[in-house]
Amino acid sequence: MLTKFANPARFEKLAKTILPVLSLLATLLLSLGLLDALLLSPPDYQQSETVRIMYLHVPSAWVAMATYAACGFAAMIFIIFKHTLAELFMRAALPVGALATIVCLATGMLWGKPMWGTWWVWDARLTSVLVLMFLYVGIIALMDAFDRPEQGGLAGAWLTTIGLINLPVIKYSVEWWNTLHQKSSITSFKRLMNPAIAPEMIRPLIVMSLGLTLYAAIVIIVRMRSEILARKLKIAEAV
Amino acid sequence: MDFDTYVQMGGYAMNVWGSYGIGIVGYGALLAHALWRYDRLRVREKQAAKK
Repeated sequence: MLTKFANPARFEKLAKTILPVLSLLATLLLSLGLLDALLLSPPDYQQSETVRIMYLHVPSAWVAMATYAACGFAAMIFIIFKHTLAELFMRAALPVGALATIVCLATGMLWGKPMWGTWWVWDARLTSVLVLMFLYVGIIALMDAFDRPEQGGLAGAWLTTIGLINLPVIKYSVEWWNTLHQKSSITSFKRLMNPAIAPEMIRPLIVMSLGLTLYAAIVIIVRMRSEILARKLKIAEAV
Repeated sequence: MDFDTYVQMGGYAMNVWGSYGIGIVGYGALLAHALWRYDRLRVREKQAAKK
């Protein structure tokens, strides 16, 4: 089944069909999300207007981690089955995850300065997310360091798989250690239905998270199409 | 609330607008680059097909 769906021609056909739908949904969700985040949602009684930063910071953190998890899955598929599409997925998705991590860190710093009185602390959550960014950058550099893309892909896949250990560290860092970073407000679907934060604040958080997830999916699909095309051209030009 | 008060974001304008500025520029640039690269490769593909 995996091979059936991991066929470049079938992927191209599927991408052509779903891209317009995803683009429409992402535009709608991000427009509504931004409107809610910047205008409609109320300021927090403690954080004041800086709470609005959370509506970009948390979705970026979610995209950063989800993209890494997806890359980890693709990496294992590539290691086991040597399927090129898994390698192309990694090449397409890694920069998206890296950017989301950078946005997450930058917005966190811009929030931290007025709320904590400092741009940065070496707390477990912040440090593990910084490690995630270094992992992303390192894997991208490693994959591009080889003349043969398959070799680069395999080296990158191994590093991505090893780096998966960082995901539970990020997730549970606020539980395992005493951190300045607050604990998660949404830890499960049950908590999502009964969240620790006001509904007017959870709404932009969810809408922005969905919108940014769709954005990431769109960019990854477009980048995958480019990777497939680039490989085809390389083969054609070599003949 | 008037426009000036809104823009000031309770005295945290640099932090709030700075965050969204980074996000919009960053995510926008990545999307634009992805589309531009795909478009350029399509042109190359068409040129290669003509040859």
